[in-house]
Amino acid sequence: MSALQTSARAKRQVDRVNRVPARAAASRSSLHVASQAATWLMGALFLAPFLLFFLNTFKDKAHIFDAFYMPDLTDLSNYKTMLRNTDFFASLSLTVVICAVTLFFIVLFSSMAGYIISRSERRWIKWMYALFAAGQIIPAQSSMLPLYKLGVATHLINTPVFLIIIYVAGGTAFASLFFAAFTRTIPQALEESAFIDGCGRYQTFFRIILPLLRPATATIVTTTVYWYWNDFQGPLIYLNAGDVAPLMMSVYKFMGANATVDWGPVYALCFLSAIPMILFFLFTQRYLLKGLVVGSVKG
Amino acid sequence: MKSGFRNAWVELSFAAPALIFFLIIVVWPFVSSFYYALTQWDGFSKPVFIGFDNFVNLFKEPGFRIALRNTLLFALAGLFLSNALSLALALALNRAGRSQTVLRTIFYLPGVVSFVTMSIVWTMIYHNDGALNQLLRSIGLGSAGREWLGTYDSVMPALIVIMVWGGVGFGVIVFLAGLSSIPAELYEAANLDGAGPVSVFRYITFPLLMPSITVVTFLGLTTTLRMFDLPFIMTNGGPGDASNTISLIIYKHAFSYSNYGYATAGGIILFLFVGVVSLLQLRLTRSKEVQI
Repeated sequence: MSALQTSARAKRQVDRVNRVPARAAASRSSLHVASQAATWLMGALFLAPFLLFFLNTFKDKAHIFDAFYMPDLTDLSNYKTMLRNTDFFASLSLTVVICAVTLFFIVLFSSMAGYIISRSERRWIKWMYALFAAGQIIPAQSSMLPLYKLGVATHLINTPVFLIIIYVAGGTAFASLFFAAFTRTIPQALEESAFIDGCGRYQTFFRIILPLLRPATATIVTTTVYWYWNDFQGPLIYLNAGDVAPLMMSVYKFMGANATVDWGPVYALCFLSAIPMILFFLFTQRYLLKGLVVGSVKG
Repeated sequence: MKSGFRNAWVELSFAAPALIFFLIIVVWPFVSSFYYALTQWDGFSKPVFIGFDNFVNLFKEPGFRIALRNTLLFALAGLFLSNALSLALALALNRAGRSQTVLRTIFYLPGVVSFVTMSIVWTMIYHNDGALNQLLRSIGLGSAGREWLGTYDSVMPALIVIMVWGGVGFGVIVFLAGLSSIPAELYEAANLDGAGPVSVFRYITFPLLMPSITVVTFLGLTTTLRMFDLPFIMTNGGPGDASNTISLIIYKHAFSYSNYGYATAGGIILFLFVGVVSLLQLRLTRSKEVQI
């Protein structure tokens, strides 16, 4: 194409752009302003329940239902009542331990499984991959009672160990798919040279691959910790009679014992149980966003 | 590479921990529930084989049909309300510049608190003396106020609002990522051809966003079809059966009435329900996906 032709084409394009009337452009920008305003309004609506949530933890019995009442934020009596009547710190430690142990084993097992899924051509490994993927649509209720029976038979029911085993089994399948996709992006040449240097397969994995999986690990931890921290159905069925309840269960029990009498302390407990995840989200959202995006692109 | 590196037993040992846990805790209970669903079983004595009686009785139970309808209603509301709102917000945020980061965080925030927390916060909002009725009174619409969770025709919309509030942020994030992956040249070309905003959305944005829509609807459906925590904590399925769901019925039959066989049959139906709906959805949205 000659330079002359190109410039003629460019001129036609410029002409066509200029033909857009100025008024249309103005209405488009006022549309933009309106949509911005609507989005901020929506944002305020989304935040309002959180504001109410926070303020309710300070309200006394007489004002707890009054949404427009501004409580005294230095009055911590709801928190004090709550701490006197619950095992908050025991529940908090139990929840932290459950989450940490669960995620540790999920990352360990699924990085290993994901590694072999991405590197092996064996048919049974392909089958395992399909099985893990299919397992994602099994609702908890479908296998709830046989699992409950298994817990009773092994005497693990109502122990945190059983809950962790259930979390690890389900979470590992999901995370294996993710680790497999991530490991595929790591060049195999690294492992080959390690092998020539005399590394076995385990050494190669733990010394070379595992450190390279750190971003994937960060993604798994920052996207799934909420499932375990916030889970209610699991403890309701499998950890209902332990000495100490995980946080969400303890909130539920405290509400059952207290709600009709005094909501304030219930709100205080609920707030202290929710705030760790809110803070965790605010500080790690960069990884979470990246993970959700990668996950959604890979499908 | 040499065979030592590709040893089958070594490969098995890598897969073993994940596989063993999955087989024992996920696959085996699921497979054996197909047997228990065909029995009368109270959890203590030996299960008695009764054929398909549990399934027949389930469908005869009026409460179950209402639960089926409610479950579908949650799924449809998630599908249309949540997705439409997520998409609208993502489109608005896509050109928002710096405020995008702040708003994105705000919309996702309800997604990081538990259903227990959501229930406690919203129970107070919907309470007869609560925030919603107070708000209505202050703008002169006090007569529209009611006990939102205790009234037959308002309990489902009330729960759906919470569900949307909690789930929209995920869609916003995935759609924003999808939008940013659409090449700008396509929009420029459409602009030069004089395409209006509606046809740009219809012929460029929407088709190219289809992979994101597949993911968001799939995860949305598998979550909403299992809806348990919100109605369990807030209404226990009431008033009457007005907010009952399949998951809730299963739980009640198992742990309130010790009808283990019956509850397991409900679990199988729930699985089939989730499986069929999500496969249909995947086929439908996948077939609409386009490659650039």
